[in-house]
Amino acid sequence: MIIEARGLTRSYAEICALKPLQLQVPEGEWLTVMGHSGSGKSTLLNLMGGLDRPSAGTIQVGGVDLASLDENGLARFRREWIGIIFQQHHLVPYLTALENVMMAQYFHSVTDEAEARAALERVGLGNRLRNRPGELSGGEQQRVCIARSIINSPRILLGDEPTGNLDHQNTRMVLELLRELRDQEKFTIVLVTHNSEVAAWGDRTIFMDDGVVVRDEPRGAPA
Amino acid sequence: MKRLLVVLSRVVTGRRTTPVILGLFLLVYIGVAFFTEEALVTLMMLTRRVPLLLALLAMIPLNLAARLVGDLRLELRRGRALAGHPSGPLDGLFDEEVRLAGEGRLAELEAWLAGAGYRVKRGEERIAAVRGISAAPWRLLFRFGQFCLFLGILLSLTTRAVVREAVIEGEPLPAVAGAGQVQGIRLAAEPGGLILNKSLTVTVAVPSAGGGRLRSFGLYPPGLLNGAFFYPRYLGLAPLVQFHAPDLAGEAGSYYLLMLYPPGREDSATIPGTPYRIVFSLATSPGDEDPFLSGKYVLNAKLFRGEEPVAEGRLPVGGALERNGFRVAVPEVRQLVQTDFIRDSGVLLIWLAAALFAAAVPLALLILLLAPRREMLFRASGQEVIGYSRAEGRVRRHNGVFHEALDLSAPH
Amino acid sequence: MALAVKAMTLVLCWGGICLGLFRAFGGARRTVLSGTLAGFAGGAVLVVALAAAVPATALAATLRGVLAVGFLLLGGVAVTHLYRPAGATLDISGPAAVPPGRWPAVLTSAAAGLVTAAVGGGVLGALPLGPDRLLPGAITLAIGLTLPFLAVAGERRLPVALLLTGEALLALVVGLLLLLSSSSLGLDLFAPLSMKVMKLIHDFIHQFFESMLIPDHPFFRNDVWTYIGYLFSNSVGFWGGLALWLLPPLLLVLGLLRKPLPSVAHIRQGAQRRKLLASFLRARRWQLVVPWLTVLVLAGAVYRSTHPATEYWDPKPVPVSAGADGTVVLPVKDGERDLDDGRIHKFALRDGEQEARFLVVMKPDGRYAVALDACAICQPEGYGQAEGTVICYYCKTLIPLETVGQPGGCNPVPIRFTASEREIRVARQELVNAWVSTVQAGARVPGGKR
Repeated sequence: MIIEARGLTRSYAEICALKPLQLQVPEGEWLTVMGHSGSGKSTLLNLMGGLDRPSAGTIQVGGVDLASLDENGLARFRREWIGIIFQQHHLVPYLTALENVMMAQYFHSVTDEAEARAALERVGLGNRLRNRPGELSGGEQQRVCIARSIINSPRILLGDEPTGNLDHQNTRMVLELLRELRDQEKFTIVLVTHNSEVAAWGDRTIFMDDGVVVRDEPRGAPA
Repeated sequence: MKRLLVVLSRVVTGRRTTPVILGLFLLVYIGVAFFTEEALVTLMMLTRRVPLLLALLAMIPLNLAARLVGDLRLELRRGRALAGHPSGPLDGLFDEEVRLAGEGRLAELEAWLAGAGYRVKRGEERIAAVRGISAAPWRLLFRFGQFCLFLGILLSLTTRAVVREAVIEGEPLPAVAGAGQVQGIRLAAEPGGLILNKSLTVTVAVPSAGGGRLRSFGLYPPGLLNGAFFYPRYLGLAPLVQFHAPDLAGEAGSYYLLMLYPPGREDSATIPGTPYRIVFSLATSPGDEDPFLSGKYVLNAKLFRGEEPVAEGRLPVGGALERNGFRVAVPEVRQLVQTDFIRDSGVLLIWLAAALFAAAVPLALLILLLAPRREMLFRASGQEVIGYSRAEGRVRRHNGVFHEALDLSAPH
Repeated sequence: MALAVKAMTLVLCWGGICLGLFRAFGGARRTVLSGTLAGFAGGAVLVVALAAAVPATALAATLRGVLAVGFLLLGGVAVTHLYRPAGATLDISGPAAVPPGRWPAVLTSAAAGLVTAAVGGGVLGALPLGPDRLLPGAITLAIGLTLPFLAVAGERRLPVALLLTGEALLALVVGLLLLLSSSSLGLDLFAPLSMKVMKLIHDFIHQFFESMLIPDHPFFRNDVWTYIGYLFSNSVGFWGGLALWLLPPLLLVLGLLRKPLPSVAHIRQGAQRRKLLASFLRARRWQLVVPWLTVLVLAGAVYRSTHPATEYWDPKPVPVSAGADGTVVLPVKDGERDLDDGRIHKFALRDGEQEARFLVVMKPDGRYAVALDACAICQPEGYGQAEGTVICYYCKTLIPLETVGQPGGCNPVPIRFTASEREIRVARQELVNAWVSTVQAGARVPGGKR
């Protein structure tokens, strides 16, 4: 198992966003997390990515208990293990697509223009390297985000409503790309969505409500 | 014997030979400096006279020549390898060599490298990709310049012969310069000169097959006369000085060679057979034109009897100075140039070296900064791909492309 | 105050050397501790014995010689560092890149201790050891024998990634020793180096002009000759000396930067390649720390050399005149002035528009010397007195008091005189002629005489 949560709990003052949760995710699986707003799915994602600390319980990623890491350790863990795609792309507007990807390399280790170029070519943006985010469509921007999130070869790719702002065609394009990359690179995907069509792309879906996993179902290939 | 030859060959072609020898000379210089104020001149003299030092100095151009040949061969071999011609083993031609199991996927590689800005040439089971301008020609030129410089220094040190003679208007050339008559010496102002603001022209009539011809020699570059450089050094005057003293019978008259340039400089004429000495200098006031330019000479004269001054005053050429029974007259004066006649086989080589450095260094620097040469070669044979890489600049960026190219040619 | 400043310098330098030794020979800390203590103690004994046996000038020359050998060795190592074997890459292995084993550690730390003790003793003024020099001697010993213990503890607090190769250790030790020696006029190397460099450049330019058959200076444009004249000026010695001074550590930096990083081409995953490359770059950055630190240290040594803490005794010249017989008479005792006090006394003789400055001093051997306040080589900026020597302000050459009155080099031009118990007599004409011929000849060429 690449992710193991035991009694994982997160509270904010009197609000319990995540009640004690048990979850295991095998390596290479595409897990979808569904639930309405406030159900705790983003909280779960943040804890898996080391972006937050649990109030109780443990979460182990790759055999490492994240609670045992200090801030520097968590930062190192995030750099080397985690790639994140958000609904808002958070690309730097004055940098080109190539430079945005190279920025992720910079914070990881050193930059490599050729590798960044190859990553953008893999996501189908080989002819848009020198364009800034404002000159790209929504789907293209999200593809830059995907290239940025996989450039450091993470073991786990987390997505928080990555297709939330995209139309149907671009959504399909992004999901196909994710599947292709997952099959090639063998990383684990954990995707948060409220869209059941998006959820159908995953291998397994868990449904959350009020901080608790209420259902855990395998899913087949998309329609 | 064979080992000795191998060692000698390593020394002659080694990269460290020249720096080591220069370091040895530095140590000798430091040692010499403890014993004399004229350390550099002493070192030059020692080098001329001590065979070991001379041999060490001679080793430098030999080493540079050997390295030049070696570098040239290396560049030619590399060029042939990149062009796809048989070039033998590629050891030492590239900075990196990587072997991978795989088929090569040369078509994809070609497209990828072209997209990265490289000029790609594909052959049978090989791809060569280059970018930028090679600085090799300029490096070789620089190396050749180094060779010329040190060979020139060696030759100059061992063959230089200098004879300094006065070249006087209206007089025959000194014997060392051969037959000829000095027709004129003219100093002129060159206000627009880049470095020199005066020009000096020495006109000489020399015999030739058809009778005689006039030749002119200037300041720079010095001309050649009978195989020797004509190197004008110091201007002066050859006045005819007529002198009478109360305790002398008659009047002494003779030409004296006086180095009085620039105005203010003093030189003395000792009257032979007498205790008298006249110290001359050119009289000028601020704002006056240089007398050597105008041709109008007024001399300051101080007359000494032994160490005791007995008279002084001013006299124009053609005039006389009379004081206390002493009389000094200068009826006429001729211009002269103290000239070094130099035989030196090394000077031209050193000038050539300077020109080569002036050409090679800026160009090589520009190329290395703006468009450095980067090269890759991929050879596929059977189930193996061998990648070679070399970069003269922007190494990290080039290595990135090389590594991605290797990823592309390796199987997934 | 001066002693406190020099003691602080010794603390800084010896502390830095010990830290460097402990870091370089990390696996042999006890050996290094023993070596430094034994070396320092032994060096102190040796130099005290030498100071009692040989003149101070000879001892200073010996110590300067040792420092110079160290500097030359560093220069040679730095140049060799540039010429790496083909295919060699940056060495990022383990913390101890110096030769392993006890003997290199012992010899290096003992040698460093010995030289530091000798130079430190000289700098703090403990030599030759005597009743009035016990305090500086005690301070030197206390610092020398205490700091290694502190350094052992301090070295553990240094970042683990700070590696010290053999070349870096040599650079650090030599640099700190030169910083220490720059606190003393007699041991400073930079001033004589810059003078030798100035002489070399002057000679080289002169030879170059001769060899390349370049015309004499009256034919040059004035502005062009002014620029060429800078090459004959005093400042060319400073800048040339500074360039040579800083060259060895800068060559070490250059050698490290030019050395290729180990190859990562055998790794097929981009992120792993970059991570490895980043670690190599980090290792290289740490290896650059000590060479750059050495550049700073040597720059500090130059500053100390050019701004010495020593104050020179430089009295204002007293105007004098000659009597009817053309003789200048100087009473040995005249009010507060006492020519027997061992300090230089300056006088100025006016002859028309010319003023000839000269000095009188009683040397350690009890004999007087009378000389011009100018030498035959330099611009006539005059002399000051400090630490048993006179110093030429122009070229910063130190002239032992014993040799004042002898001609040659940068010695002040000697003047003939007669001396009795009560007065010293000097001929006016002698003074004026000497001054005119010395100073006038020097005025022709900027920077000194041809």
